[in-house]
Amino acid sequence: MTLYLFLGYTAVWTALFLYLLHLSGRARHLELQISWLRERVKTEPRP
Amino acid sequence: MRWRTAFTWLVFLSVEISLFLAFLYAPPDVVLGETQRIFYFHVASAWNGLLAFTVVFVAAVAYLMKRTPEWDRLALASTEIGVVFITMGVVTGSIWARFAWGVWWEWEPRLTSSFVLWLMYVTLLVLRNLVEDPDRRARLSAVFGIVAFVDVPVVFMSIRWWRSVHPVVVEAGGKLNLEPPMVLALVASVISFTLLYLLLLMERLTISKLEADLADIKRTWKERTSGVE
Repeated sequence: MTLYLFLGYTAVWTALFLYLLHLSGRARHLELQISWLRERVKTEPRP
Repeated sequence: MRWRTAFTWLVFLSVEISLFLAFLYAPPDVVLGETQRIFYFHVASAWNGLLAFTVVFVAAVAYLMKRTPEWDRLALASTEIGVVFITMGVVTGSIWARFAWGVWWEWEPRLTSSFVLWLMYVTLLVLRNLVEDPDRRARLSAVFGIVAFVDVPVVFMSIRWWRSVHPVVVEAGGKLNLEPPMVLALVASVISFTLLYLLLLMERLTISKLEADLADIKRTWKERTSGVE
C-alpha cells in the first residue's frame, strides 16, 4: 500500500523539479540572447 | 540578490522540516495507514493552486484599472505556477483515491470542479500564446482571469454545497478533523509550499522581466537595421 504513497510523493517532487529546471533553463537562454544582442548593438557599425 | 539566496535556503529548510513532520512525526492513519501521508502534499498543492489563481484575479483587476504591464506579468507568472500546483493536487488526489476509493477518478463535485478549474487556466495559458498584440493579449487574459476565478470558491465550497465523497478536513467553524501531530504536519506542509510558491513566483517574474528586456533590444536592433534599407 506504500506504493501509492511513493507514487504521490514522486509525482509532486518530479513536477516541481521539472518546473524549476524549465524556469532556470529559460532564464539562462534569455540572458544569453540578451548579452549576445547587446554586444552586437554595441559593436556593429551604425548604418 | 543576497536576500533571494537567503530566501531560497529558507524555502529549502521549510520543505525539509515539512518532509520530516509528514513522514516521521505524524502517525499513520488508523484506516488508510501510510498512504494517508499523500494528504500533506495533496492539500498543500491544492491550497497553493487556489492561492495562485486568487493572485491572478487580483492582478487581472489591477491590470484593467491601471493598464501597466507589471500586473499582466504577475498574472501570467501566477497562472503558470497555479497550473503546476493544481496539476499536482489533482494527480496526488487521484493516486489517493485509487487506494481509498478503489478508483482513479470519480465525477463528484470536488473532483469535477477541480478538473474544470485546471482546464480553464490551461486554456488561459493557451489563449496567451494565440494573441500577438501585447495590449490585446493582456486585456483578454485579464478578463478571462476574472471569469475563471468564479470556479475557485466553487472548488473550495463544493464539498459543503453538494453531496460529495471527498473528505472534509476543515469542519464548519474552522475546526480541523485531525490528530494534533497531523495538524502540525499539515500546517508545516502548507507553509513550506506557500514559501515555494513565492520563490517560484519571483523566478517567473525575473523571466518576464528578461523577456521584456529582450523585446526592447530586438526593437532597437530592428530600428537600426531598417535604417539601412
